[in-house]
Amino acid sequence: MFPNKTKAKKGADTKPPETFEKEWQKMEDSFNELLTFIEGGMLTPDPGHYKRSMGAYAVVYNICTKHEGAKMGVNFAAELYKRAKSLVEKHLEEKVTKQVIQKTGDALLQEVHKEWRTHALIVKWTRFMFKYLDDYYTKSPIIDTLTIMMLKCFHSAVFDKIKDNLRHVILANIESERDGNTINKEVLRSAIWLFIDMGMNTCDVYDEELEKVLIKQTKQYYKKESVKWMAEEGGQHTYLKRAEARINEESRRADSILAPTTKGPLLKALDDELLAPHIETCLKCPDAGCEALLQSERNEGLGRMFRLFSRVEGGLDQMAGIVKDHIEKEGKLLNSKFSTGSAGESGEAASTTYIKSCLTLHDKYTVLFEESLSKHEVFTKARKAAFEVFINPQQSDSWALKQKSKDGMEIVTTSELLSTYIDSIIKKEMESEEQLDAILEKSVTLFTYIHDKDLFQQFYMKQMSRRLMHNKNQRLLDQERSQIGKLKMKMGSAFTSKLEGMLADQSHADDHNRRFKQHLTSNQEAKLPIDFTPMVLTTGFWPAFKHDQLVPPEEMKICLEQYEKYYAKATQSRKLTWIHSLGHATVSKKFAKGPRDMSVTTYQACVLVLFNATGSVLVKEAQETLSLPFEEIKRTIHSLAYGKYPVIKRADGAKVKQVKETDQFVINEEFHTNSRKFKIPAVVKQERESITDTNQEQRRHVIEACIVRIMKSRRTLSHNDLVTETIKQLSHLFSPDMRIIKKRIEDLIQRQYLERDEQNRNQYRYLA
Amino acid sequence: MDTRRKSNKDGAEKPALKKKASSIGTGGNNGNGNAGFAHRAKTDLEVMFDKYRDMTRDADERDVIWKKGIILMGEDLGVTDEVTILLLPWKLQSCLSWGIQRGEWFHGLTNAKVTSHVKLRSLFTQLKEEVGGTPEVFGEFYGYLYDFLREDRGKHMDPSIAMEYWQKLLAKRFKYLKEWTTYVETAEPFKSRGVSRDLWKQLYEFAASTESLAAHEPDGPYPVLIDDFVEWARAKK
Repeated sequence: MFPNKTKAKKGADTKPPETFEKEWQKMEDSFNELLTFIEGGMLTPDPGHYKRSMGAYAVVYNICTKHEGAKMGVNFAAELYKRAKSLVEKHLEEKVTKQVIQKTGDALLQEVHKEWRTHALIVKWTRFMFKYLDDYYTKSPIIDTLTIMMLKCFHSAVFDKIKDNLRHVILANIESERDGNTINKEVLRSAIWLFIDMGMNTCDVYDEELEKVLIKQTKQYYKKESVKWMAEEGGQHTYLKRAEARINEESRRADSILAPTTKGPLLKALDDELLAPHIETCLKCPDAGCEALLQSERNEGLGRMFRLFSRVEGGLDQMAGIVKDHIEKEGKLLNSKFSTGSAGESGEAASTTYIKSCLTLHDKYTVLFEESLSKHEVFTKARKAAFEVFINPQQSDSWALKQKSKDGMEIVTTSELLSTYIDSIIKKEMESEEQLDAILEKSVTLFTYIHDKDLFQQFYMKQMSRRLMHNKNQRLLDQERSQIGKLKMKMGSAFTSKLEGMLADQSHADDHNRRFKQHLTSNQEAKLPIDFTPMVLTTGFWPAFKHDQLVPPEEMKICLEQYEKYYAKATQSRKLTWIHSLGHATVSKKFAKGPRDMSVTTYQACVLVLFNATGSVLVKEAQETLSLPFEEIKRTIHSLAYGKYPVIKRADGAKVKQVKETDQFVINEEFHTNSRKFKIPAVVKQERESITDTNQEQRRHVIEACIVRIMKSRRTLSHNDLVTETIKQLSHLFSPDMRIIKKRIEDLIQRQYLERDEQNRNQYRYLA
Repeated sequence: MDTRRKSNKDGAEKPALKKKASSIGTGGNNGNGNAGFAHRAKTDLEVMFDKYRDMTRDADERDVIWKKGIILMGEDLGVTDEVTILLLPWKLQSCLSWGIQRGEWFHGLTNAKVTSHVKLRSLFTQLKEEVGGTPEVFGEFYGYLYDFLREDRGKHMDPSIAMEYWQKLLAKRFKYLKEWTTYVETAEPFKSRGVSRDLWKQLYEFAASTESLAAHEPDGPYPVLIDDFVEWARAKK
């Protein structure tokens, strides 16, 4: 409640303007009192002042609410406003400006800091005193609020006169701090924020007067700095460290004293001056550049490089390029190590070593990417590109994989090596399943880099078929299944359908055998002379096997016939063809030094059984009796006579290793080996060529089918489009040679599936 | 499409002749001289046809002017150039290899308003002009010749025939003819299998549109053999 209220009401109609002047004087007095307090250094006036301010408020209120103003044609509110303004102006001009203008340098900062704080207080209390005006008078949009009005006074009276000096001092301070000196951050901050406040709810003044210049100065400063650093000895090595330090420093400073909006452009200025022009130099620097860091595996340095260059547009691309080149180089080195390495044994160890080292290389970079490069995809892409280069060499490339063979150096493909590696891993029977699974998972990652995936499929099928036929434990089957599952996820079910078929056959085999045994027991006539376990393969799933005309010994014959009878009864309209080249048997013999059990192939077993009839066997006769090609007989006898376990020997005892038609062989009665049971390995033909050839053949069909499919749906297509589309559709399986595609097109034209367009030679048309 | 390509060898299978309105020129003759309507004089065309067709053959084969006859006709008309004489079967669109059937002869020549010896001669001149004009027309002629020249009934043209006629037809139109013949003599599958229609035709396209070897793109729609040729030729230089 206002103490003067009743008084005011009483004199409502009768007070003349002189009263106004009297009341005004009260206001002026209050104002001066306020100034005294503030200049006296007191920031918070005493409680009494508050009461007095309330009085001032009441005065204003009274003056304004009188109606006589309207009668006299005087707008008291406007008058009060005008006078308040001039009060403030006078004070500023007479006292404040004079003080401030004289100062320079840091003293200026201090003075500004003080005056601005003071002015804030003045604004606060004056506003309180004249608050009534704010409630009504200044609501009009053309009239500034008291705060704004007073700010504007400060702006024109003080700020405009000192702003250039002030700016100069601010910039000098910042530069000084950059150079390493300490400055008074508090006053600096307040000076900077003065610029902001002078914008009156916009940042325009700040932006124009301060920020622009600051950024320009920053640029110049760092331009010089960067040149200086580079010129120093060893400067290139430490450049990035310094740059990062500076960036952090500027960031901290911006947070503490600048407007939040400045941080972005400021840091960008740093990026533009410190980083962008020097990216290449830093990347290519011989000792501390990207290549060098990769070489010495300094992940921390790489991390810094990554952090900094990701700030600059296109910076990471250059870095990724170097990473790719480096990985490529390392990979090619692995290739040549393989090619020149030991071809001593069957080269199997070499393939394992090679694949293992590829996987290690891959892992090394996974670690790097995760730890230091934030798994940024530009690097994973680079690694993929690099791997694809050295994993898929062309025959003519210097880093092609080669292996020594009988006829010189042979080209080996990664498809084969990887398949062989997986083969060895599965056969090895590791202790822990997780370990095995982890290795297999990685090998599948490597698989995705291979271009000739169809060739891998061929090798894998061949090797898996052998695994399935020799080893029948459940654990192995589970592993096979899991591996196929992994491949299926990457390639789709079409790729793995045959493999799954093979597995299915394997699991049915037990089933069949059980039923076969039942059949035998129920059929009293059928008693097999030897232990017999057949396995049925469905033709479409398994790789093609050569059929032979082997005439097996009597004991075997009985078993085969029995099984054929059973199978004909158990199934409908199926034809069984025996593939003896795949079978194996156990043959026992009582040698002079003890009985022995030999694990041999079916062929070997048939040859050995011949010796039951006659002590000495002529090679030619063996060939005729067994009805096998001479090459096969030769190989088989060779493995029995000149291998690690020579169970037969030449009748004439000559020391030759060649087997001829006319040679006679007898059992080596003196044969001895320590173990009771052992395996006589048969000579395995070199399959690489045949598998590669089969694959080429298959590709021809695949390409043709693809071309026909494309043309059928598109009807007419230009040559380039057809080729591009074909390559695209086949890319997930293999990368076709342009030449082969053209040849297939020609062939299809010949066979009238397609024709060339009459008018446009470049166009093909589908012929229904 | 292949059913019309029949062997020209004597004593081989009987060709299946297409009887195209054969009654037009016969006049009831049935190839037996002047039986029937004897009082009409023979037209020039009829005279010529009778002169050049091969009467030593039997039945249907008699109604065709075979190779010997064609060559003889050329001599008679003063057309010495081997290639020029081929213009006639092209104009008549003869579908036998080295044979002009009765129907084709009469129909075609009548349509071309050729009724006499003299006019036939001038037809050759006209055709020569036609073909020497734009490369497209020559291309058509050249392309037609694949089936006409191909005596063997197999799928491909015999390499020696191809070589012979490439020399004759493309001497002035193929910049690299010499290199081509050198290369292709020993190249597979040309050597063993011969020339496919596509290769025959595309070779002309190649000849007509390739200014220099350097400009050739190996990934274009040309047959692989031509690509190989360019590679070989470039290496030689």
